Amino acid sequence: MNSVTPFIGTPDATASAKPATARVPTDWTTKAMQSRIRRRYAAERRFRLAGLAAVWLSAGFLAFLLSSMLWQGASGFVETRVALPIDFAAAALPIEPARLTSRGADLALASAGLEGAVDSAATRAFGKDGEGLLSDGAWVTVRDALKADPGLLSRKTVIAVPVASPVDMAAKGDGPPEAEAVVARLKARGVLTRGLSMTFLTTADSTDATRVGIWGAFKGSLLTMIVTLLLAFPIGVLSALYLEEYAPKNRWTDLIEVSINNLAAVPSIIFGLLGLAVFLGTFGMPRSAPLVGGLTLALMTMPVIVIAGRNAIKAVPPSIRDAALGIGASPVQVVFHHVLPLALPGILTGTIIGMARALGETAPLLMIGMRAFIAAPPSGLRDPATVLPVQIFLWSDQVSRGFIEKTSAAIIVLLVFLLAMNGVAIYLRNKFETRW
Amino acid sequence: MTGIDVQRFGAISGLAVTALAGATLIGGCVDQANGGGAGSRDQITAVGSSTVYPFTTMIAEQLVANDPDAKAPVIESTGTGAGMKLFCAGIGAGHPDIEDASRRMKASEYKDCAANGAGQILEIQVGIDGIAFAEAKNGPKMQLTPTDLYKALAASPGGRPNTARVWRDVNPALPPVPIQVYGPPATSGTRDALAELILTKGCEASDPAAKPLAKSDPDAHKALCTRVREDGMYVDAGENDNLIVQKLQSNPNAIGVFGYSYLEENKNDVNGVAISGVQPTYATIADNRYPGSRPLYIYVKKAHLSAIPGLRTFLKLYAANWSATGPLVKRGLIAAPPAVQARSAAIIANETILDPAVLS
Amino acid sequence: MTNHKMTARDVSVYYGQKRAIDNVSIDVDMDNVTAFIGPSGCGKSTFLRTLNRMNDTVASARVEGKIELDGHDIYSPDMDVVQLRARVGMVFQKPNPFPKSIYENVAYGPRIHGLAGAKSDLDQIVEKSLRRAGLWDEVKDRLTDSGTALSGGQQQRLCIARAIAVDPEVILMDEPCSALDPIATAKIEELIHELRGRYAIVIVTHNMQQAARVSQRTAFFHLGTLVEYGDTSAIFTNPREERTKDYITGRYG
Repeated sequence: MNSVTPFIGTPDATASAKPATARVPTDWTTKAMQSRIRRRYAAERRFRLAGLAAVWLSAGFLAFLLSSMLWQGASGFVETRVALPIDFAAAALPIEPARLTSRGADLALASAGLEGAVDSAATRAFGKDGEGLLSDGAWVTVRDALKADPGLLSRKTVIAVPVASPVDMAAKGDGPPEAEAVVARLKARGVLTRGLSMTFLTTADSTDATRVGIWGAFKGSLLTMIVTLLLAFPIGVLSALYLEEYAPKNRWTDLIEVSINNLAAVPSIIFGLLGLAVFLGTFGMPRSAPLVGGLTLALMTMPVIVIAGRNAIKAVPPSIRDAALGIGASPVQVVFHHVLPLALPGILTGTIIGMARALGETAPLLMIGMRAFIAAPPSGLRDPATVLPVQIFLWSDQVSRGFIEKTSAAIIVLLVFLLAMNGVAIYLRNKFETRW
Repeated sequence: MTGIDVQRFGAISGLAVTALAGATLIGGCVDQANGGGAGSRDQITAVGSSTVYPFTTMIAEQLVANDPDAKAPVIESTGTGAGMKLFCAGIGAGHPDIEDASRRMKASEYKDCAANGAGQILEIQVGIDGIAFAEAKNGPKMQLTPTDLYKALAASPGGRPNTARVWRDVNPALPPVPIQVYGPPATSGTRDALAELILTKGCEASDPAAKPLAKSDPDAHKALCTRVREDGMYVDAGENDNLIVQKLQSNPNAIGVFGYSYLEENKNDVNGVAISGVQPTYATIADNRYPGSRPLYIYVKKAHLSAIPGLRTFLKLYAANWSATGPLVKRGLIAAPPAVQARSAAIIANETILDPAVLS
Repeated sequence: MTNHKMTARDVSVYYGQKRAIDNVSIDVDMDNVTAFIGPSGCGKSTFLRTLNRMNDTVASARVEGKIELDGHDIYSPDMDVVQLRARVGMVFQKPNPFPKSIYENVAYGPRIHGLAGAKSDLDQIVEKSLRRAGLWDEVKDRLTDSGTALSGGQQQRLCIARAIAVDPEVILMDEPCSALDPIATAKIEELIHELRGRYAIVIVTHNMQQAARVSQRTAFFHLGTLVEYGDTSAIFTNPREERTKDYITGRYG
């Protein structure tokens, strides 16, 4: 408008209007106007490009991480084997075939000198360095073959046994020069094979890179996550429900709300100190146990679930509650039949975030002792165990070069575990998602 | 999902929480009743040096491989100093059975042990290690002496603050390369070995007043000879020796300090630095020609030998594997002289207790 | 004087210190539709909500006076709120079906109150309620569809069916047609007419013509007080109070 608006109180501001000035229509075709419009569109384009660039950058980081892990770690799942001819009949081990199917078979074979027999077979087949060619766990493979088929004791056979770590690394292209020569010779003889390393997937920690496995840490992580979920989820959800639905709005509940929000931001190592002092010290629980690890991580995860839960519950419209109350549902029925199912997707999202954080936590678990070398997987919640992130940390410190690929392979296993856990939670979330 | 299911879920989860909490507390209380600390324990626990860790873990693994029914020992790498504190905190299931040490126990640490009831311990030397100095393959190929290292690394060499910036400041024969050393932290036994074997030697060699100070004022002696400078020339690279190797490769002028086993494993990437003209090799460390050689020990509580099943077997297994032809040597251990091996084996067999008088 | 279904005597409602309803006395009878009219913010919804204790959900609300259902004080400690709300049902301004299937919406109430034993009983209740709400023919083939997929008018009728399913004695309706188009509104008004004999209905409306069409008794509220209460025809043709006359003739509100 071209007319000037008078201030109240000026003499011109009277009820009797001046003659209305004719309205000049806006000219949209002037150069200034056109360039203004062009600049606005340009800003629009720049913003969209910036957003797209941000997405590509994030995707790029993720792709870089995944591809470098896959590149380094894929070979960690593979082991190199050499075909070892072994004549049991000639070796004449002092053991009955019947013993092999009984309980003490492992101990019996060890004391019967199986390891020595395997070493001599290696020397016979590959020369004086033959013994060093085989992995320290090669005799275990032979032992398992014997237990599977006790009839082998009276025959000669060829068994593919894992090679020692330097040779394994050389076969994968990253070994010391002497080992490379050995590999070239063996390849010429055609006795080298490669295959999926079941050892890596089924055994626990070891000092030898060809005998090491991720199953011990995987089981430890699994047990710890189960304890964490079983504690944090119900307590978190029920707390959120109480705080939102039942608690009176006074200073005490404000204090509780502020405390829970702050708990979610506390550095995780402080929970580790708490676990050390309270669970290990005061309650005297077993050190390095998944039970204690789960308790500590549950303390850490619960505030996240409470916060996500509260937001999800707040988002349920009051009209649904009114409708339920209106036909005579009790407050508990309103909460569990109507509010909770609608809030569940948001709660599950919070749970996913909390559990993913708990899965990758290392610091609090280091404090409660889940940082030890344990050569066997835990058999229960109270046995000492370690978890995947800690195992990765321990392996990264190993002397032997073969552990580099195993560390990357362990990272891949951790990522797969994480994806599986999130996949389950997302499936559950989608199942409960209702459209209104 | 109907509302009824949600209600049932709520009830079940409430029960689960109560049950789990109850079980936890009851389990904890039962443990307390069984005798302090973590109650009963039937696996072997060891703490201590990261240098001895690879060998102890190997024996642990063999224990399990030989007898799959045996409980897997729990071996933690905490550093010799921190491990001693845990070890000497007391007797019982809540305290470790074995302490791995890359240096001898100190008299003050023994006093703590005795005060907490852990005075009856076996001292078993398992082998020898060398404290090796390394540089990248394309490094300046330096030849150092303990005096050079003392003058380069001490916080106050000769009583005055350390102003050396390049190696030439310390010894005109050395190249003008900036001083950059990556080494172990204060909790590490390797650091104690650095202090005792190299820095103290260099200190006493360069300053005649230093040696008598050890008797008259031990604290001043320690401050003068073993305190390491903190202005960035010496960098604590943590317990992760692999990291030191990586840093050497990216910074060819730097020197790294770690155990001999790491040097041997990474021969392709780093070279050993000769100290007083002697290169760190198996032979020179074994016969003590290399100035940085040190004995490796494990300390075991006598009271635990009968309480923890498998502990005696563990020690015997250790003894069976520490010879010069054994698997531990393949892992990087330097075997102790046969006389020492025999003595250690005898200690295991007879369960002879350590006499604190020999400690300093 | 016949026994009234619900009586309110000297009811005042406070939100904290602020008085929202001031000394209102009203009767609700079985055979009548009672309408509450008045300008926005005059307290008619607030008063309606006292009749089934929906104000309990507001922490700062306080009710004084006596409200009785069949002679029993509904605010006495031995009155079961849950049972009260089943006997005195409510339909809200904006249709709010549960995000469940149509069947589940109607079946929920009977299920939680234990009104149906076998599934066949429940099916019967659902069909009866939907028929009474005039919705059965439109949805009988798609009872498993979501309640929220219906049109606005159908959703409101579904809410009425839901309220009917628990066999109430009184139905409170808080501006049930204000969110609906004229045709849906007409359907609802027709429904109210049919329900009249079976339930006592109280309807809050800001549409005077609707009140005139639908109700037999009318109460005019203004600024929290009950200005005039009487037969609908009397209120609209010959109001006693000046304010009533002003409101009806459209001078304000």
